[in-house]
Amino acid sequence: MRCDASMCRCVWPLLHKQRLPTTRWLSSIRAIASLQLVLLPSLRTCCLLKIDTYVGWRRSMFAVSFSVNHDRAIDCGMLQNEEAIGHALTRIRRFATFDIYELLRVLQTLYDCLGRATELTADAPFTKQLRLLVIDSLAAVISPVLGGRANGTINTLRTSAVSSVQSLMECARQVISS
Amino acid sequence: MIQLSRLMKAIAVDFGVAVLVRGIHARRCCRRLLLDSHERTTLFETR
Repeated sequence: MRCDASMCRCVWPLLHKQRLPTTRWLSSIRAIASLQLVLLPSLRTCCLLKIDTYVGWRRSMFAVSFSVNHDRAIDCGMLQNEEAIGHALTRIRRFATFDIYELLRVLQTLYDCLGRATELTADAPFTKQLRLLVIDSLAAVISPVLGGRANGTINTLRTSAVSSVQSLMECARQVISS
Repeated sequence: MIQLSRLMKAIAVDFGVAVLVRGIHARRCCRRLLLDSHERTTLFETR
């Protein structure tokens, strides 16, 4: 697998040209996001931690997006070694938190682990190379505390998902490649 | 929210981890984080 910035420049317009039915909108967004997330750490040897608060991002979702985009990816010459993809996946960790207290616990645990990164622990290789923390998104855990409704949160996510997820991923790519 | 902001700031400043936050309350939650670790922080306040 060729791991450089030009690969992502190749992938980006490719993903944008996808036209999927409205009913599959959210799932397509997740597929785009998951594929890009996998490509992000391959730019350099670094790790990424993603905290999801509203929908589950699972490795199985990546498998779906990978199979959907596999033929196109091969055509573009960007995927030559599936083992490299598997290796990239090991540098991504994901937590699902469904309320603000859980989010606080995860962040506190992360802070503690980062403080112990110099020690010889099982998580040391990951925490030493951690360069990016993505929290996606705060609205789902903050809105209930402020008296918001879950439906409103889902609608908000549905209407804003395309632009904000794309912006988020583009920014994440810049952070890692800088 | 203050506790959340402090934790994210500590992770960004003490350990040099870039923090990307998405959500309509991002700016309200992360004002402290944004002020103290601007270079390492990106907030997406979306509706």
